Order: sequence, then structure tokens, then C-alpha cells
Amino acid sequence: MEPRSAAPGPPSWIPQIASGSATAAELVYHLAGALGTELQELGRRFGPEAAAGLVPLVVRALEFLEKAAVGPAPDSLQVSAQQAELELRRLRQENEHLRRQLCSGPQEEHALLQQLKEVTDKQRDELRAYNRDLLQRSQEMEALQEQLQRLLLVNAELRHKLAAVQAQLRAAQDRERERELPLQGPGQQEQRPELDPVTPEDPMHTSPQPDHPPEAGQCGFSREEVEQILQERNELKTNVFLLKEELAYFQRELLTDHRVPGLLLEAMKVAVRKQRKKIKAKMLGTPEEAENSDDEDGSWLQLSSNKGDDPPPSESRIQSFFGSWYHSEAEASEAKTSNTTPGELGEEEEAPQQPHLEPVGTPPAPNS
Amino acid sequence: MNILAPVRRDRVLAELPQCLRKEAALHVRKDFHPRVTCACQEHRTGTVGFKISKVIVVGDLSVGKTCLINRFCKDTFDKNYKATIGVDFEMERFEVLGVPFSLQLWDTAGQERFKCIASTYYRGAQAIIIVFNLNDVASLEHTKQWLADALKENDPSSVLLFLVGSKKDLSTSAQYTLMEKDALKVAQEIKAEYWAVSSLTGENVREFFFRVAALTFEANVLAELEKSGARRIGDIVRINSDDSNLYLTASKKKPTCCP
Repeated sequence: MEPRSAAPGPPSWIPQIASGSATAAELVYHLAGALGTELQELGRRFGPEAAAGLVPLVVRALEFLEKAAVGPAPDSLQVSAQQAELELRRLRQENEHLRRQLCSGPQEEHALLQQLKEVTDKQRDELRAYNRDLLQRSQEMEALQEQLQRLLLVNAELRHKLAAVQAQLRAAQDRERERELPLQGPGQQEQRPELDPVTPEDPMHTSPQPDHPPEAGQCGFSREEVEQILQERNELKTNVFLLKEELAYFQRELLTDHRVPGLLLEAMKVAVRKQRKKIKAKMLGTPEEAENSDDEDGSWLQLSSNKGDDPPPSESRIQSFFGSWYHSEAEASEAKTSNTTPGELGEEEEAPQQPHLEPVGTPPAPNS
Repeated sequence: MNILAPVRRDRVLAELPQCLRKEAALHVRKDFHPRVTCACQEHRTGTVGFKISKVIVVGDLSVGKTCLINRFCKDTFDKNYKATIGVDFEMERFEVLGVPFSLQLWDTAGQERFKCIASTYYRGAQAIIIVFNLNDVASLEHTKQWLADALKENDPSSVLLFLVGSKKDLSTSAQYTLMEKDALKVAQEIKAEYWAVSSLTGENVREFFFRVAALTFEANVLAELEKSGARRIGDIVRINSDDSNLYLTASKKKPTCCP
């Protein structure tokens, strides 16, 4: 009976086995079940001892079978392989993505940088251009300012010159009108430009005054005449100066309220006259009497040293009195000779030429 | 006793006025020559006290010679131009180191036609003031000609020269600086002392003339001391001026220093 039961058994299992490895384990368990049942039958038929030795062997064999069918677990391996494969693909993709990113990132940045650089370069160039422009303009401005300054100066100068020329012109016109001093020295008619503007007036002048040609001197003064006039003016000016000083001196003397004896006053007058003559000769550059210049210098010095102390003490007056007495004697004799010469001496000495013998009673000054 | 009244208080020089620019000065000493100071202290100045130093002022027409003199002597200023006919002069009295001293300032005509008259007054000048307009380069260029003309009549070795730029008020500081450079060069060339003045405002006018007075005085006293040489001025005067001066010799201080 076993083979029968066994015989139909296997053909039903075989397709099951062939159907897939997945069911191989189940087949082992069916086999174990069937073997268990058979062994239980054997035990019942022939006593439990009949199959006792067989059971552990069978169990062990079945366990091996089970291990063979189930143990290798092809399913889980496959799954893990698949999973690994998936993971690998994902990683590869990511890698590629990253690589692409890595590759494309710097390029973009580079382009950006490039662009930025271009912009800055352009701006820098522009700035430089502006700078240059600015510099140029400021230079131009400076030059213009300088020019302006120069023009202003020229203007001021011209104005000034114009004013001067106008003044000259006015003076020339005045002179012309008053027929004063058209100098006629030879080679001196280089009449200044001031005369040119006068031309409009010239026709009026030429009719009554045709003496512009230098040789005709009817109306103008000759050089000699001008020199004489100047000389005279100088002398007069010198006299004025000396008289002013003398006046101041006598005023001072009076103000110091020393009563000056008449005799002394006269002596002083003489001394003063001498001094005056000398100063005058110096001022006018005319030669003075040479013989006694040393002597006179002495009197000068003497007088000068006296003058050192401001309010002259009475002693100095007496000294001067003696000094001038001495000198006045010399002068008295010298005056006789020198007085005959015309010119300065004659006109200078308005005061009487009397020596020191003037009466003592003469009042020192009219207003004292 | 001196017929000349006391000197105005503002014409008293107690010390040496200083130059304007050290580059172009007749000398840059701080004080008068020690011999001069000494001589003045001892009244050994001889006839200098009564000497009138002749100063001539020359230069182109309308540079302001007359105005310069008028500003100093009369403290006036006339804007109108009035040509000087031939020459004119002003007297200015100083007291330098206690010694009276006079300057006769001869104002000459700048116009060409008066030149022959004016030049006859050049002789015997102790100082020559050449004036030019600080705003007119040509007038600076002409200064050398003026100097040459003035020196024909004078001893170039003893005469003191001053180069004076006028109308300073009319030039801007920039312009002035330029002009001054040229003027200093000219001054150094002709050995003149340089000054820049304005007669309109009075700037430097007084200082300038004081300097002229002081330097002329100093030169005068030095010349006098030199001339007397071995003999002392004081001594020679005492001998020459007879018995009437005995009083003086007694009262006079003996020279104690400076030969």
C-alpha cells in the first residue's frame, strides 16, 4: 500500500515542484507531514519500537531538506540586489546631476564675473575720461582767469595812462592857451604825443601863434631864459627858506624870554647874515668866497657846538657875541669888496650893512 | 647859535633806519658806523652839521618824482599830472644822532625837452634817487640811462644810489612780485638800494627818505673824518678859529675814542 499511496503522491507533487522554487519549502513540509503519518502507521502496526530508530534519521534528513529548500532564501538576496541596484542608479544620477551642476555653476559665475568686469572697466574708463575732462576744463578756467587778470591789469594800466595823458593834454592845452613856455631850443622840438591830440585845436592856435617852428622865438622863452627864470626861482625859494628859518629862530629866541641886549642882537644878526650867505651858496651851488672858508667853517663849528644844549645858556650867547664880533669885523671889510658884486649878495642883504655899531637901544623885536 | 630853528620832532633820527630788502641795500649794518656814532657823541662832526647834502631825483616822466617829494616834505598828494619845468627843490632838515643835517632834494623834470636844463643841476649830488613806475617795465629799463646821465656829472665812487619803484598802490601783489624781481636785479647791477613806495598812500615814503638821510649823513661824516686824516677836526678848528674860540676849547669834550 505504501508504494501506491506513494506512487500517486509524487505525480501530484512533481508539477508542484516544477511550478516554482517558492513552493519547494512547502513541498518539504508536505513531505515531512506524509512521512510523519506513515511512521505513525508503522508504529501502530508494528509497535512503537519498530520505527523508533527511523524517526530521528528521517527528521534529520527532512531538516536538511528544509534547509536546502528554505535556507538559501533566494528571495531576500534578490531583493537586496535589486535594492542595491536601485541605490546605485540613484546615486549615479545624483552624481551626474551634481557633476552637471558643478560644471554649469562656475561657468555662469564666470560669465557674470566677466560681465561685471566689463561694466566696471567701462565705468572706470568713463571716470577717467571725466577726470581728464575736468582737469582740462579747470586748466582752461585757470588760463582764462589768468587772462582775465591780465586784461584787468592792462585795463587799469590803460586807464591810468589815459588819465595821465588826459592830464598832460589838459596841461598842454592850458599852457598852449596861455602861451607859456613853448621851448625852442635846437633839437628839442620832439614835442610829446600830448601835442597830437591837440591838433583839433591847432587851427585856432596857429593863426594867432604861428611860432611853432622852433627858430622863431617871439613868444616862447629860449632855453637861457628858462634857465634864468629857474635860477631866479631857486634863489627866491632859498631866500624864503632862510628867512623862514631865521624868523623861527628869532621867534624862539624871543620866546625863551631872555632879554637880548641890542648890541648882542646886532652881533647875532651879523652872524646870521653870514650863515645865511653860506647856506645860500650851498643851496644854489654857487661858489662862495674861497679865501676865508676855513675861517667860516670855524664859526660854523663853534656855533654848532653851542647849539648842542637846547636852551642856550647865557655863556653861549656871550661866546657867540665875541665870535661874531670877530667875524663881523672880518665881514665888514669883506663886505665892502663882495658887496660890489651883483646878484645874490645885493639882493640878499636887505638889512642895512651897518656893522655892530648899531645903537644899543634898538629894541630886540618890535613885539616884545 | 644857529639860525636854523630846531628840527621838527618827526625829523629826528636817533638810530639807523633799516633797508627795505637785504638783497639790494647799500649796507645792512644794524647801526651807524661806530666811528660816526662816536664822532657825533663828541661833537667832532666838523662842518657836517651845516652841510647840505644834495640829492637829485631822476626818472621817466610821470613816474611820480614830484609826488614822492611832496608826500614827504609837505605830506600832500595831487592826483593831477603837472609836469615839472626844469627843476625844483625842497629843503628837508633832519637831526641825526643829535647833529643837524639838511637834505636838499632836487626834483628834476622827466620830460625829454627839459632834460638839458635839468641835467645842469646834476653836479655835486651826494645821493641819486632813480625813480621808476612799478607798473611800467619800460620806466625800469630807462633807469640805467638816467643813472648814466646823472653819473656823468658826479663821482660814481662816492655817490649813493637809490632805486625807487613808485605807485605801489596800483600794482597787485602778484604783479609787484614780478616787478620786484626785475628791479632787485637792476638794483644789484647798478649797486643801488632798492625801495618800493606809494606816494598816494604814503607807504614807505618816510622810511625811505629817513634811510637816504641817514646813509648820506653817515657817508658825510665818514668822509669828513677821513679828510681830516691825522689832524682831528676839533683840533684844526680850534687852531683856525682864533682866540674867540678859547671858551669853546675849554668847554669842549676831549675825544676819547675812535681815531
